[in-house]
Amino acid sequence: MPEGPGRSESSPIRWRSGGGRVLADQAQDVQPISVEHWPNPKLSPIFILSTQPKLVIVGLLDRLLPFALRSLLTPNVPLVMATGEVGYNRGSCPILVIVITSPLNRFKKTAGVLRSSNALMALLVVFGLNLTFLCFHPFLKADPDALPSARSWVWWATQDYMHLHHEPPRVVLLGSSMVMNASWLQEAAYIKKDVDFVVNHRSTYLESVIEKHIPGAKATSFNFGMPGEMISDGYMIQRALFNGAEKPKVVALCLGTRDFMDTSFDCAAGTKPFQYLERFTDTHDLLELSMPNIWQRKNFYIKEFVYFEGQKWPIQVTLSEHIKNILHPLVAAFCKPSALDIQSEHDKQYAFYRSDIEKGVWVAHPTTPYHYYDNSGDWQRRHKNPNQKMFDNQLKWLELSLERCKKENIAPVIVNVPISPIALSLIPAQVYKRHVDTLQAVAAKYGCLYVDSNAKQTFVAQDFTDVCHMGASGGKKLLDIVGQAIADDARASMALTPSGSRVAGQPGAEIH
Amino acid sequence: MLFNSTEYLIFLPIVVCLFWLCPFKYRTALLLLASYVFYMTWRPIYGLLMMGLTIANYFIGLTMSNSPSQGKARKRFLVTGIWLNVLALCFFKYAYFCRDSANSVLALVHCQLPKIPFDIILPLGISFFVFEFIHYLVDVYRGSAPVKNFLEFALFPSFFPTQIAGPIKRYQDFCPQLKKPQKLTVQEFDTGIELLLFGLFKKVIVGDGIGMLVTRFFAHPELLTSVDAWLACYAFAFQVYFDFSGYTDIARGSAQLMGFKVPLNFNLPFLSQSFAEYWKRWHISLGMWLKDYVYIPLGGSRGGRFCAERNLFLTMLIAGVWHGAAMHYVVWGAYQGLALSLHKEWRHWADNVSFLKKIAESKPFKPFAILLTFNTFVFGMAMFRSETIDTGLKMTQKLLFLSPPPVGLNAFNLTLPSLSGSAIYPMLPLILIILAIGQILADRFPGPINGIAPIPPRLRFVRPVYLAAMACALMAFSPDIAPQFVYFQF
Repeated sequence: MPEGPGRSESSPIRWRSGGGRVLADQAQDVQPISVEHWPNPKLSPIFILSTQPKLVIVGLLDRLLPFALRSLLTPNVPLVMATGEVGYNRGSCPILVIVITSPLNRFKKTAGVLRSSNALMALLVVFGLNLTFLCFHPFLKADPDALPSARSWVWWATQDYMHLHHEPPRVVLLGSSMVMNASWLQEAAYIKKDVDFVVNHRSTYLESVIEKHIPGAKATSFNFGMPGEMISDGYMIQRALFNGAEKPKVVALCLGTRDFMDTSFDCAAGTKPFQYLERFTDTHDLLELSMPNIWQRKNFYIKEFVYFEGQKWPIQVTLSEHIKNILHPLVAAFCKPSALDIQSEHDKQYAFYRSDIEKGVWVAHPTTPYHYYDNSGDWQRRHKNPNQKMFDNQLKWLELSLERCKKENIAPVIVNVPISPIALSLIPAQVYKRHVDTLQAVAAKYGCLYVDSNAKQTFVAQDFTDVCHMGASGGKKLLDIVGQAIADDARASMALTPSGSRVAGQPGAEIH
Repeated sequence: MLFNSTEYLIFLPIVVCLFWLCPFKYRTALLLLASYVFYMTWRPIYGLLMMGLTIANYFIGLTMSNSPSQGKARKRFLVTGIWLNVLALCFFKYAYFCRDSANSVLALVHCQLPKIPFDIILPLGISFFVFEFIHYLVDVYRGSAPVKNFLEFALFPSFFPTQIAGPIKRYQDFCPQLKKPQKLTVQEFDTGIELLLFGLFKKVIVGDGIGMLVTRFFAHPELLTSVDAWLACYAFAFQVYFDFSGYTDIARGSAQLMGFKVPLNFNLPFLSQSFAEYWKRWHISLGMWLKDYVYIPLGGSRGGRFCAERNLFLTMLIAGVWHGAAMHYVVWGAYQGLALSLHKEWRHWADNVSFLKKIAESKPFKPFAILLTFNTFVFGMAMFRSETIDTGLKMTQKLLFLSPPPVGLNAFNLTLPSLSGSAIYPMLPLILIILAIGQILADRFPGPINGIAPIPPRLRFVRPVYLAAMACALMAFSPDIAPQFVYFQF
């Protein structure tokens, strides 16, 4: 192990052969501990225990910090005296512990104070329990679907998607309310029936358009457009749900300017879709991207390193099931059902989250008279500044989405959603140019088809029901474009073309 | 910033550490700054309201104390000060209520008052700090020495542990504590932490847990049987008790960590043997304030029995109005006044009729009195919790077994909601029984009233384990989003 800078034996910092470096007042207080593992510094917190707080502060400022920084950058020169690798079912999460000792008599005095304080002793007990539970995870990992959740848009869509596991949809639309609104209003007009936005996620109109271009495609569709959906949410949908046998063949990413840079948006991890979907997939590798700011990660770190806080829902759900099983004979023998109980288990499980979306809250009618709502203030506010930082962050999520599509053999198609002249006039010119240029560049980089709706179709004022959302007529045009794009994209159309109808000699016609 | 939020768990240790590191002469200023930061995290502009009222009351108090004690000027200053505080409270709390009530009367003559052109949002804790200001002015008027140090006076209403929901302090108890240096001992530190944890446990685990069920009950009163209605009201009584007393314990614990003593606000009220005793054990600081600044100025018990009963009724009517700007609170206040008056009447007859006196003093009467008092209080909870008079009346009908279908087997079905959700509450009646037994046990052992577990000295090793268990339970069973305290926006 490399030697550190020359220091006398009397200095606070002493070097030990074998790789450890200690900070101590007296030689006799130092305990030999070998370094086992150098953790990922980005994930590990550093705990400093000391009976000499002033020494810690001085040490940190004067000595430790430069060494700490150097050590973090050069993993072969470890700083720690003791490391513990914590068993963790989501990956290794080591904890660094630096123990700084002091002369024994002072330690005895401090220990005396500690022992006489019930609160401090309790803190030690909690700390010990926390470490133990972090190592051994006594509670079984609960089924993510059994954990309580608000019945938000993403919850309804996910439940609907998961119930299709026998036959997953072949085409999925990802996008915000600009896609959701238009598609559903058109769907209601097409099938001439009411369409409940909350529970109906199928676009039979899109399916018919695809069928027209790719006969026999049977392109069952799923509309995953949700209000306020960001590109990062779209990625989380793919990551959490499009796995194995349940993945679609084609994903149409319908993106608008707001999807990249909404000023009312804090970070990727702050959205309801992200917070709901992260229960289905490990998101540790997305930490920096989803919470770029250290303050945004405070709740994450609390949940990560405080066992009872992080595992509270599995603990509660597990205990709840046990208690219900124990009490069931008593309840069955002595209790008649209360009217308050006469709901499905499904409804009861989520009864406490009354800010939910419920069925019937947003229904599209086939003959909704045209009306226009002026939400220009909201549109302007969301595009108040170019927000380059957020744009770059969401661009990374888009690239992750496309990489994932490649990995999962899903054909992506990028569609720039229509923008009304009013909407265009309310945002800075460079914002829209940046948006279009970026989509083109990303599509070229990943070899997927990019379609600009505004170039493909002429959208009139009546196509829009407000500054950015479209009605049935606009939705029809958009879905025509999406359907055409899917048909035009070689990979997408190949994925949807029935295998028997492939032309001999054409790519994909080989029999596997 | 709520007491049961992550932000407070970061804020409190920082303030406590800074407090003890800070030289004594700067501690009042530090606490004042911290208190205003605490208050303004909710809505910064209302910090100006509190500061404005503080400045006004400070100068009125000083001016009053400099005026001759028998002079008219002194009285005028008092009246002005009280009106200023009451108007501030009325504007923010009762503007909409007054307008809606006036409109319902004017509707008879097809008239209506114009809409208020701006939103009036109730400032946090206004009911509490206004009462503290009024207490200060009245006591100074009556001859108590005013607080000359502005910082000390400003800290009195804004002291962050008691800022939002009391207890309503007395300046003669609080301000002298600022004059002598506080000392942190291990025992005081431990007591403060134990109170904090115990308060959080009562609020987060018990109060919020029951609150979820209560919300469901009161959202569908039409679906309840009479037994369900009683269960709902018992549950709400316990919810309010644990929520509010938990808050008080957190306040006391937070203050204790800085060496301050804050008055006790609850003393096992459900074990009261009379309604009068109940109001000496429930929200003690409010009860004492109403007695000193409403009941006694109205005449108190001078002027005979009926005057006393009238004054009681009016005092409790004001208490009802203080609790909320809605008619069902007024009805609840009137009910409290009626119950107190009836008790006073009973006491008169029990003291003067030997037969009744014997009954009242007999041993079996005590548990009967406790049950009667508790159920009288619970009966009133139907109106208190309901959001409208209509719902309150529906619930009250059910409590009286008057709701259709008529009393019969249906009403006596022991329907026990077995709701999913938090692991702790699968069976509400069982939980209520355990809580009731807990109250009785707490009465038998010293300590729990103060929030301190009665662990004998020979088992002192149990206390750290008990504190650790509470902390772990809090972490495991607290919701992700902290629900508000019931008394949050009073």
